[in-house]
Amino acid sequence: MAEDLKMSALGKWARGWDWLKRQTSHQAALLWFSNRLAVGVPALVLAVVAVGIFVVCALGQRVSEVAALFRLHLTVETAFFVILSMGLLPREKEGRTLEVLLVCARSRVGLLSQRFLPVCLFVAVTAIGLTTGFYWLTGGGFPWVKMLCIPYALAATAGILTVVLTTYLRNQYAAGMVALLIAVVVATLWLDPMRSFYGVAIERPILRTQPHVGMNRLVLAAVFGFLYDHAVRRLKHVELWMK
Amino acid sequence: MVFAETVPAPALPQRKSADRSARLVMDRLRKVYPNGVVALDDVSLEIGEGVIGLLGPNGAGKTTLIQILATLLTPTSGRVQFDGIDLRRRPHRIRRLLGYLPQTFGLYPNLTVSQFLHFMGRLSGLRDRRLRSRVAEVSAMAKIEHLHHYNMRGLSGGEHQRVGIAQALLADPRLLVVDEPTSGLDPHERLHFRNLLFDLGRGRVVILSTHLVKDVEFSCTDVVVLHRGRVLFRGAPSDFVTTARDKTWEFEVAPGEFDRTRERFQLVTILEDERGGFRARVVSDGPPVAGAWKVEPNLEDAYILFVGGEGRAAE
Repeated sequence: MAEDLKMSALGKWARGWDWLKRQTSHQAALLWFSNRLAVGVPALVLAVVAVGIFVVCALGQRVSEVAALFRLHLTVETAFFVILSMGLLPREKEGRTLEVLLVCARSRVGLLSQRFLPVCLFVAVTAIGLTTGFYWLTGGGFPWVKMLCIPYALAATAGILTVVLTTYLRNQYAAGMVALLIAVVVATLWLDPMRSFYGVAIERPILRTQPHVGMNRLVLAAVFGFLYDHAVRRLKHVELWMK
Repeated sequence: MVFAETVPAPALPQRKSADRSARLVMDRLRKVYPNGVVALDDVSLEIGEGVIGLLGPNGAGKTTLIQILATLLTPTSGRVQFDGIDLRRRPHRIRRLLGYLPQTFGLYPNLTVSQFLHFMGRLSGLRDRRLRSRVAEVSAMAKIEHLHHYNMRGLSGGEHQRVGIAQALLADPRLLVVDEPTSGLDPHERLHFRNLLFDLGRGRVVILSTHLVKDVEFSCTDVVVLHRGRVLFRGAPSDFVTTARDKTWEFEVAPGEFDRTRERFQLVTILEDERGGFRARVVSDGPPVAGAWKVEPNLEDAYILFVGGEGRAAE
């Protein structure tokens, strides 16, 4: 009896392990294909640009001020997300592959998320590289995790916004420019991420009460949630934007 | 066979788990675009296994109907069920049973044919051994095994379409929808495609949308004629031809009379006879001119009879 139980448990583990291997292999294959389709020559160019920025900053000794570093991260990562995201859907439309993609058994949001994932991975690698490089140059002069995560989250939001904008505007470059413009306006006039990075509440929000760090971040999360929900709804109704 | 009016909507069948015969049912389907154009108007059809030819001139509503079946468009009103699954409520379930080849179809230029098929197969939920065997099977069906290592950028028109049909067949669909698959193909490729579609009709519902009458003639077990969003005819090709019996005429015509003939009659074609003269072939309820003689009708004559001058299809 004990032996049977042991064999049954082992069998379950073996099946589970087998399922995990197959699932990983399947997702890795899909990621490999998506990577080839979504992140190509432009990504190589952007990688070179990122290295160039790092070298210029290091040589010019412009790494001492943390605020400036933060702005640099935010700008570079937002620009990268926008540039790589603005072509995701238009490229499929122009290449006339959009219809067959939308008809396959995979969910549409899952399909587009899969397309967006290589962009996220590329910018994440770039962000980690830049953050680690500057951290080393400044001798640990800023919180590494915060410098990595906060600009990245904001930049990813700009990326999702870009994908949604491409369903409104026929031209990918127009969508990219509008996304950048919105990102600049939001970053400088409303959310003031510099202050949220430091945990200091912003003084110019819509709220007239005492500034509060938690509320600041809640607003950010609410904006992200709204944008994500709108993106999902818009992307599900392909009839609205496929033509 | 129904003549010049929509098929009365049958009671929609309940799904039976043991029922293997695929049936596509459309009930009072209507599609109105935001600009007010009525693309489909009260279309009701019940379709079983086989290859069904969807015939009609440009603007008839064929592509709209095809895109509704492919879950790319939502109908304004009406219902579509396939195997008892409601298309509006469960489009994701329909997509698991669906294969689709659109009219304009691109391929990824930086993938090989094999990579493309594997990619599309994975998106359809196929994996591992099943994926490899399906890729091999559809490649054999579409005769593209020798193209596996070719980059898709370099494919000819016919090869391109064959890769397209192969990707549509990957998930072994029970509903296959193809939109103008033979447009732009040479006669040899067209013949291959028609034969392939005919074979595919066994055990599945194949909807072939085309404005080329010859595609229907060679491949289809059933014909549906759409015109201005309405179903004008539904039945077997032989019954379709019968509608033009006693209404197809030929008469001699002088070269200078071509334009006038075109304006006055429902002209099918103008032929050159053995003596170097010309004769016009028209469809008409009665003799169009004195001296006209009746001839045996074909599909094209019946098509012109239904859709008039707009439907004059070129081969």
